Amino acid sequence: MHRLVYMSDLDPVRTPIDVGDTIQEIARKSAIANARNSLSGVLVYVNGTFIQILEGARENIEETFELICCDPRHKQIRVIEFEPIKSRLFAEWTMGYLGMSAAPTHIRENVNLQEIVFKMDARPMEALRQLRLLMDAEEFAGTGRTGRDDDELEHLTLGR
Amino acid sequence: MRVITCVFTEHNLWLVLLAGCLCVAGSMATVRLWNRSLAASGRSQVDWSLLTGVTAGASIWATHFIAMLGYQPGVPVTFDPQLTIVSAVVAMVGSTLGFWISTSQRRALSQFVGGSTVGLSIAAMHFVGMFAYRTDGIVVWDSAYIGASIALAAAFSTGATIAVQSRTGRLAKKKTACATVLLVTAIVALHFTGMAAFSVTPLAGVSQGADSAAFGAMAMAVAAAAVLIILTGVSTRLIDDRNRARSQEELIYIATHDELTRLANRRQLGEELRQKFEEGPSEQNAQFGLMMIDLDRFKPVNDTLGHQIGDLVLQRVARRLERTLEQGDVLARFGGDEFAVILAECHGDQHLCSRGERVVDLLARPMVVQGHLIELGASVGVALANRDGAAPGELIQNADIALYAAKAAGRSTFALYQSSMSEEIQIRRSLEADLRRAVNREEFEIHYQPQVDARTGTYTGAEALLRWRHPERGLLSPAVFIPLAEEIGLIGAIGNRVLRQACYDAVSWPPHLTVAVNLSAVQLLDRRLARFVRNTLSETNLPPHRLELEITETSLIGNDLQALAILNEIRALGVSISLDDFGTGYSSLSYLHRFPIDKIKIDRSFIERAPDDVDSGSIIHAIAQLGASLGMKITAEGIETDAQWHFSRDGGCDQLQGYLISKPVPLGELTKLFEASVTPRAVA
Repeated sequence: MHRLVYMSDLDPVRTPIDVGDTIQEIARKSAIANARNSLSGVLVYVNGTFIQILEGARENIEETFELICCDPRHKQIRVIEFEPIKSRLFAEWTMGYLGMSAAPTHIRENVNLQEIVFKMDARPMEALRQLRLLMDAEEFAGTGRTGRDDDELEHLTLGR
Repeated sequence: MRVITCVFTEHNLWLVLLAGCLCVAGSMATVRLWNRSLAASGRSQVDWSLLTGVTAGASIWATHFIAMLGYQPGVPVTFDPQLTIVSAVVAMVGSTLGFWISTSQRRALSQFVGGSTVGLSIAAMHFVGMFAYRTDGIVVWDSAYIGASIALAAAFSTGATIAVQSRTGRLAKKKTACATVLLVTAIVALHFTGMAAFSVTPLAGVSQGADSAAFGAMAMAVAAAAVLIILTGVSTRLIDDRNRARSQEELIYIATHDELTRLANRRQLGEELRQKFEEGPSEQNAQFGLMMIDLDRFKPVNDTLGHQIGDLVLQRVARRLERTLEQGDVLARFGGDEFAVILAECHGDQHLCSRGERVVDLLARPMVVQGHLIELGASVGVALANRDGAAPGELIQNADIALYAAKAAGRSTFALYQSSMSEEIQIRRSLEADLRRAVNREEFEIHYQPQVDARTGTYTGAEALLRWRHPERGLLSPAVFIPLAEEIGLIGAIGNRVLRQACYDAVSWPPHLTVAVNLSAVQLLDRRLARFVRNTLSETNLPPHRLELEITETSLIGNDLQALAILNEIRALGVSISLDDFGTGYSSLSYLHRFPIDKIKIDRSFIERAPDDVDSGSIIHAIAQLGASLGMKITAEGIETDAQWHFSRDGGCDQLQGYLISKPVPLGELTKLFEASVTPRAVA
């Protein structure tokens, strides 16, 4: 089993105007695709930067990553980490999603998220753990996590 | 006539009809298989002859047997089983032999001997079959009819053979039909003429033979068996035809496609281009274009990860390129790590640019293959048909030139062909060729620029500077050819030679003098460098402390760990390391700290402006102090005036180098300077 972590930048030219919705749609579609080949992971989007984490069998990750790399909606794809792992960090989500929230009560979480993005380059393991904690935090219910709050996608989670 | 009477009065006409149909069907199948035998070669000719013979033998025998079942001589009749089987075998073996002989190249042999053999085996089968035919009566044979029947069989069979073999003339067109007719005639003629030779008179009071109902059933059984054999023969032929068609298709596919990537191959691309040129512009009056794609870092991948991964990478590249295609495009593998795309419709340079950019971008994105992270990059050259080339060869050549320009521009980019490129490329290509020759012809020379102690003015050593004495262009400086040498991979060979020559020369100088040699970024990252330095020192007997290797900051960027390891190895030998052109470019103080640097050489741009420009002066001071506190020596480069000399010395520099002291000179002059041992300038 492996984990691949990459970062990329949104390409504003090739992405439609309602960015937030598009990205949630991306997360939704990948959750469905990942369920088919037992991949788990998270998609994070902050101020034009993506972080995506994929966990699962090496071949499946490679296949999915190839599709991701060829997607014109983002650019400057840089692989942060691609390591064999003993256990998944994000087993509960076939593709969880975290983005900035407009709600004023979520300022702390937003800051947290920005910090994670900042840290991911230099200290990936720390950033990943922080991300995991953030995913767990109940207060974050409103930012569109797929695979947990969303009833119709309940059956896509890998079991909790 | 006796024969005709015989047919109509002494036979059950239904069974005769059945026999006749079988005869015709069998003969048609036989002739088709016979054609196939003649077309076959070598061992398979025997195999096909056998199949033909078995089919023919079965049909002939079945025809005979059913006809005999239909013969009503008015006496009881039985069949001897063994002889019946023997007659079948005779038919098959004999005709196989006959067909095989007919495949011989010698016409007389194949036609007459082969044909007659077939005919004779039909006859043999018939008469053996007649021996198997037991009647309760007295049998009388008419030898004239026997002879006639054999002659007819042989004659018509020979005729069939001639027909089957015919290649020209009216006969050839309908040869299958003719041959079939002749073969049927042979069989039928033989049978009824042979029957006409046979007459039996009943004997009273003898047992009954089998009844006609049983015979009818037997006839059906035999017919069924014969039909099966005929069908087997026919289906074999059909299967064979289909296989040959398929392998023909496969051969065409193999000849026009690249095996690894399943893309069109170079030859097919040429063919497609030719067609495109013939077709002319599209309905929207758009021309077509050609894009040549070369992978930038494929070779290192292949070298470090092996050919298996290399192959997988090429396949991945092919699939990615397929994503960039538009309607009507043709993607081909041009060979090695080169690909080409025929862009079906191009609407102007803007469009060409966006197509090129699309490919560059997609191939610049990372790929993960078998757990390895691979970043390739591609250079792309684009040319437009008819504007940049009126024929396939020209278009390919110019797209290639554009590709070359893209590579020269730094790779991972695309370039549109421009007519001026041709000339530039020619120049660069000839320089490349000259450079390669220069390495072999020793057109390189080393000049030395001496260095002096800033305070005493005595010589401390000299820096080795490479020059190329080009046969036409004269003495060329490294700035002209070193980047090119690095690109085409010659820097290792050239650099090594310089190092060796410099060490060799330095040995002849007074023993306290050092020699400094420049290392390029490429040389610095070669793992074998330390070993080479060690070998050179021992071969030339130069003490390590007399050698200085100069590197620039740019060669350290992005390759820290590798460079650090190699520099440490070199330092461990006792050789000292200098940081050249300090203060320009990517000056990073952390390099001074992390890397084993012994000397800093302040870039000439600061010296030029000092002492008039106060800031430059301050920088020189600062660098000198920094160096001093880190325990490094400081050299000032580009000293051209006395003022600069004094300023640098007072500012804390230990060594000076520049035109004021001496221009770079050949070894002979340098030795003279050293021997004179005169302090070059009295210091005020």
